[in-house]
Amino acid sequence: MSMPLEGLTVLDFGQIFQGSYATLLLAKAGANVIKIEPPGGEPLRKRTPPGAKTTLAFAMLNGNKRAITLNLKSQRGKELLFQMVQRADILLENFGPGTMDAMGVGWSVLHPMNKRLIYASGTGYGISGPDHKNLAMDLTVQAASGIMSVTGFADGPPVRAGITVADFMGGIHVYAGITTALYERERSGIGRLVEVAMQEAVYFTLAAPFESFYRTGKVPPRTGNETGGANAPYGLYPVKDGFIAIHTGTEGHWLNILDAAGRPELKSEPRFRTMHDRSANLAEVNAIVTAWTETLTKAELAEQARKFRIPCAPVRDVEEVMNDRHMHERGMLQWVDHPDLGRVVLPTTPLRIHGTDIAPMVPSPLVGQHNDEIYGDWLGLSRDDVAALRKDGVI
Amino acid sequence: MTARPNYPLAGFTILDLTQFYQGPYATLMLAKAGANVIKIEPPGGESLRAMRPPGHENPLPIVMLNANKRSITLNLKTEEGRELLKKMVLKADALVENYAPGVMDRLGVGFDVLHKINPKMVYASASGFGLSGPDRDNLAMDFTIQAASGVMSLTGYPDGPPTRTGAPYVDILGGAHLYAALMTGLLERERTGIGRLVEVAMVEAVYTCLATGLDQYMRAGKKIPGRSGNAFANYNRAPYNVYPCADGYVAIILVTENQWQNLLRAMGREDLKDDPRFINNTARVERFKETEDIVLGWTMAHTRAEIFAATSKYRIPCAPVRDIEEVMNDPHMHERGMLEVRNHYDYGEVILPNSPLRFHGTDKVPTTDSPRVGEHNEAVYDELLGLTPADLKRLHEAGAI
Repeated sequence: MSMPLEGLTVLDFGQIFQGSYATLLLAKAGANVIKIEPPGGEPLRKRTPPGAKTTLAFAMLNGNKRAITLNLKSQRGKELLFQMVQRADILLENFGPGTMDAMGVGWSVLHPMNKRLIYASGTGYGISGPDHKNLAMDLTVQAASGIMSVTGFADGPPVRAGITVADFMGGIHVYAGITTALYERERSGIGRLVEVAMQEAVYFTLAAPFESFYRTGKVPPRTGNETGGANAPYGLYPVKDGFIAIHTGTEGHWLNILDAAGRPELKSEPRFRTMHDRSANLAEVNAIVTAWTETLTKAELAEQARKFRIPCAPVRDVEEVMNDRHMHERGMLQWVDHPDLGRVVLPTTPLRIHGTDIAPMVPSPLVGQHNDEIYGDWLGLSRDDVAALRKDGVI
Repeated sequence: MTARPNYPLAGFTILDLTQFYQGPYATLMLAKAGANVIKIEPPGGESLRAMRPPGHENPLPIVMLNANKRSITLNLKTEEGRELLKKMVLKADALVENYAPGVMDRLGVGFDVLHKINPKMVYASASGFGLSGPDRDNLAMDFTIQAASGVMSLTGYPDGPPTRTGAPYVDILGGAHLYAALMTGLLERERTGIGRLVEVAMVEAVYTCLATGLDQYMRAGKKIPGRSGNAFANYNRAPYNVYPCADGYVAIILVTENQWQNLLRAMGREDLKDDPRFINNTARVERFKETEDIVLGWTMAHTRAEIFAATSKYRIPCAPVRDIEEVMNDPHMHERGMLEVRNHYDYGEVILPNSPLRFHGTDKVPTTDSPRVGEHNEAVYDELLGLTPADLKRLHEAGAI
């Protein structure tokens, strides 16, 4: 077993999605991730339905971590954290800005205790600037960042992306920041305060609408599943069992569509020759494409797309995605017998370092499951000490 | 000897063969962290450059995504061009590319070949579906991955079609993962001395982001969740929505019961504070429309600014839905240095972003504008390979650069 981040110890105060995603990827790359929760468990655990021990979302994001509890509001709890900080490489938290400082365990306190410690902060708006105290949840960051304003149809309201894109975009950037700081530490010997704001992490996703704004001087309208004429054909087309998304990126793709549709005679048709020509005759173009797609199923169309080299994909639901043959074959998805959920599909990691191993799947822990192991074996406390900490509400 | 600049990735050389959004985003973050990024383009420039609007040399995304890089040209379809790449590989720490799987191999400059030349160089590849598996050769664009990954099925309204997210976040998400994988590969190299092939597939980068949708599917006994507009998956939380107001829209989301009590105070509806019909999320979800109407009654009578001021006072998560003009002029991101006003040779006064990765205690890399195609041929070929202007003239005539 050779894992890229073996030997690194992470104190993980990540909660809900953003922080936990970053530490999940660290754990899958072989780091020793210790998930530190308040005695009642982190907020995502509170969303567990009555009678269940955990949720799929929690299980997806917390595999390969060990869980301990710690009450940072108690003095003894802080002392335990200081002991752990002296033995750790990375501390990650995604509390609101200033929360750790207010408890007396912020960067400025911890850095002098361990100059090599990398302290990573993930927030909605950052730890400085006029908006840093604004409460941030994925939905509000989608609103504030502009993503929502460009999603949906021209005659309808702004629409959120159906996934918590801001949370995860923040999470992967936190991971990116941590690994960069680790690399720098190899040379400087100094750990840094690394910071990511979700709003900033999604800024680049708006590159195309920004361009449209510079071009026209106007805020572009929402365009549903179309591009407002930049590409044609482009959009969702009906198939027998749902929809297919087609994105014609080059003139060659259009010629390939005509071959697949059995309409090669249209290749020389001047009304359809360039992207611009097809945009000007969009209704006709869409009719040609629809006449082809609506006679086929998703699977048949996917086959033709491969054969004729057309950028298109079926619109898949979560069940289809979860059972995707491709991602299972690649090892991104695995069937796991989870102690609390039964047989479920869980992801490994999208970061593949060929020639190294991904940490073998370990199911997500229960609250404080590893208290004895971490406080006892790692920090060297006796069983009685750990029992006393438990009794006093410190862990 | 000059002091090493105080940038996290100072002294690190990267050969950047990327194009469009995904790869260039990864290498932009490398450049902004102080790496020496050499953008290697085919003689006509990378594919995204062709999408220039009338009156400009480049589309704005080129300008945003390629700052702090130097551009050289290289024709990998010529033998001489491939030889030049192999020589540069000897001097590089990493090579990044996002061509379709197999393209670099067919050109004779894939990982297997380059790894033998410089076993310490990390080779980073990004693609839509990855370098293996049955879907490897499917063509991938942001839009088609939004469809294939399941995200589109969850975006939009129950009575409408699946809907694209108007911001092509799959590309950027893929790019951030590519950066993450590359840094992980570099860290591992510190220990082992071996440069690895690192790989990211967009469809996989998106998977874990579906956590809420997948979770709702399991909770509902394997029933596929429908689209729920701006409301939570399966309409399982209230209030949680985008509400029209007097001058636009606001997003309001409640996480705790305490926030409901605070919202009632903010709305001046404390008459409902003990009302059993709305006492907790379960009750409010049962009376979803009534709950929504209470909130709407308030938002419709106020502006975004008024609503935001009230929710801030009572600590309720809320944000105005901002358009892109408001976002690019955001005083907060300007104050933090994430956004800066540049005077760019192609766009004049233009707002450009920095990297979202911040390393306190290191210096900010001063911004340099996105290069023209081949702008740095002389400087870079001299610096890396010691080629003279006469050499370059000959290479240019031979079509190698």
